[in-house]
Amino acid sequence: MNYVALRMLFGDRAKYLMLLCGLTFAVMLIVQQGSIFWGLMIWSQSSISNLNVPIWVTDPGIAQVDEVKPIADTTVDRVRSISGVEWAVPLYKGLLRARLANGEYHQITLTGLDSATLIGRPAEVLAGRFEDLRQPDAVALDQWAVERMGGPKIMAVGTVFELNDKLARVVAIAKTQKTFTNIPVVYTTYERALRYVPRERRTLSYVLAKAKDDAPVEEVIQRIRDHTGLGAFTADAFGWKTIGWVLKNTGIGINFGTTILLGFVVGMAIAGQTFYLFTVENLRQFGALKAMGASTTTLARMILLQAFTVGITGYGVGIGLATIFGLLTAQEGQLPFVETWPLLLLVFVALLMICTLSALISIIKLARLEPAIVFR
Amino acid sequence: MTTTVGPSHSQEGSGAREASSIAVQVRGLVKSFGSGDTTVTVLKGIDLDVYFGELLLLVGESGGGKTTLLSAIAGILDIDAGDLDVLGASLIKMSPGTRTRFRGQTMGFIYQQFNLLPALTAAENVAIPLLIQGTGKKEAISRGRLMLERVGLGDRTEFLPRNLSGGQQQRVAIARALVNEPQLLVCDEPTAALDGPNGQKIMELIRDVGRAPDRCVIVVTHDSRVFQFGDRMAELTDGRIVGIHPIQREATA
Repeated sequence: MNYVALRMLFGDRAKYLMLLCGLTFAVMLIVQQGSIFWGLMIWSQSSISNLNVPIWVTDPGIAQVDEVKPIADTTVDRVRSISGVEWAVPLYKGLLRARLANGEYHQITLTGLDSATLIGRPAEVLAGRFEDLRQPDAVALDQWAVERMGGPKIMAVGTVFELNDKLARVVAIAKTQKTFTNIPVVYTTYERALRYVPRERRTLSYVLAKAKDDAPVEEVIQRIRDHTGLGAFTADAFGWKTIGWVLKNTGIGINFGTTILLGFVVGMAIAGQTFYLFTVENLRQFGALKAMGASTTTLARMILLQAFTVGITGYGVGIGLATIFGLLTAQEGQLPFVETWPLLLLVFVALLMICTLSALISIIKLARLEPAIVFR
Repeated sequence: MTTTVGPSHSQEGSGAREASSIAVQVRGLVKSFGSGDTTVTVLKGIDLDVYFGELLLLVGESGGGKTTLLSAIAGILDIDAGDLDVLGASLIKMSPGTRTRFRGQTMGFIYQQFNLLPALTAAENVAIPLLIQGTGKKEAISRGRLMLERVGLGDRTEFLPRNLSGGQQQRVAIARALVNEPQLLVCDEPTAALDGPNGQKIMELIRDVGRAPDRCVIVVTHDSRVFQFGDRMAELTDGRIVGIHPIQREATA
């Protein structure tokens, strides 16, 4: 009877297409919004992932990576002295304004790296040489800084501008992941960063560290906490902490959650209503099948097959359309769009729920159907 | 040939028959709809025997209980009281699942509105009872085509119902009713949606293919042109059988 069920489904083309459109829309909306949401979450902790270091030592009350709480300059040496730590380097991170040659001002995030090792430097350089950061007045930009500060004609290797009335010369442009706030990132050495910024009692933003290969990372982190009284996290944990802060403090989770829920509800409503109508309009035919010996179980299987066939088709088309949207609009990281398998799995489960609930309404109707309807 | 309806008999109008030739035996059948003050008793103690090899017509006024009786005999409507033996089995003792299987294996249905699945071809529609019984798709459709040839639609096997005339659709429905070789054929107003000539052809077909020594046919109708095709006629009025008449055919010059 599977054959009959599928012929019935595809035979009523208008309803089939309406069902398909409803489910496709629901899937597309959930995947698209879910992917943008996750992309934003990835962006919110780009300041951590772009530096690609295993351990972050922070102020004990740190909430998220962009809310810098300076720590004592001596912390670097204290961390280095802890057993199990292979290396530890300072990191400066702070907001500053850049004045360009054309007189424009731009807010930037200044990142000061350890001058000896340049640990925390971006992995990929698009132009120039990152090692030239050790030259006088040298700074490096990320590609988003170039974009935000006027484009490659205005900001390129060799361009000079001012940071707090002090000269800065671009020696490299690096490729990084965009940040949540999309404030241009300017890299320099730690010592030069301190020259650019106004003098403060405490200037060290973070200590970046690595555990020795034979030392368990979690144990080393705990030891750092115990010995310094500071916060210490793996990059992953600090990233999640930042994501958690964004979710809690920006309302972004509720906004996206609402849209995703709406996608689910709209998909459910369209699919449920159309499917129910499809069943009601075919009630005499289903009654005839019952009269001819088709059991309620057989009819239920037919309905479920119809629901899941259109559901899985809608799932495929919806994901396809969402992916095309992602490819078209999120090219080169312009928009946050990160499609992950857990999201696709979650959407699949949601779709199965939509199909099952839609089918269930029809199955209940059919279970109560007296085959004698065919003689009325 | 002319048709006359014989005198009424108290029970089975064709006189004494062997008990072994009884296909359907109804005793004291009662069926009501609704509840409380709105209860309507549609069948009020029906007694009826239908024999193998005969075509029984159920006639009577509208609302008299014909279709309800047919539905009860076909096992698609639960009854409130009485006994109902069909093809040697007690329908009221069967579980719903057993009754559904029993229907699929032993009965064929012909409806007033044909009830063909619009998305399926004629051959596929005819194959449905076989598919329900678990026959493979290829074999079922192949047997569907053969059955369509028997009802004169060999050249319409791949047509969708919407591309067939009303008479042709009813032929498809007849082929569907017969494809699993049922012993009991139940027909509800099979000619009501058809014009005169088409109705005649359909009844000829039902009589020819439906009536066999191991099969019986029950037809609910109010169409007097159909009477000539029956062997007996049971008349229902207000939920009771008021008469069962043999139908006599006489050759005309």
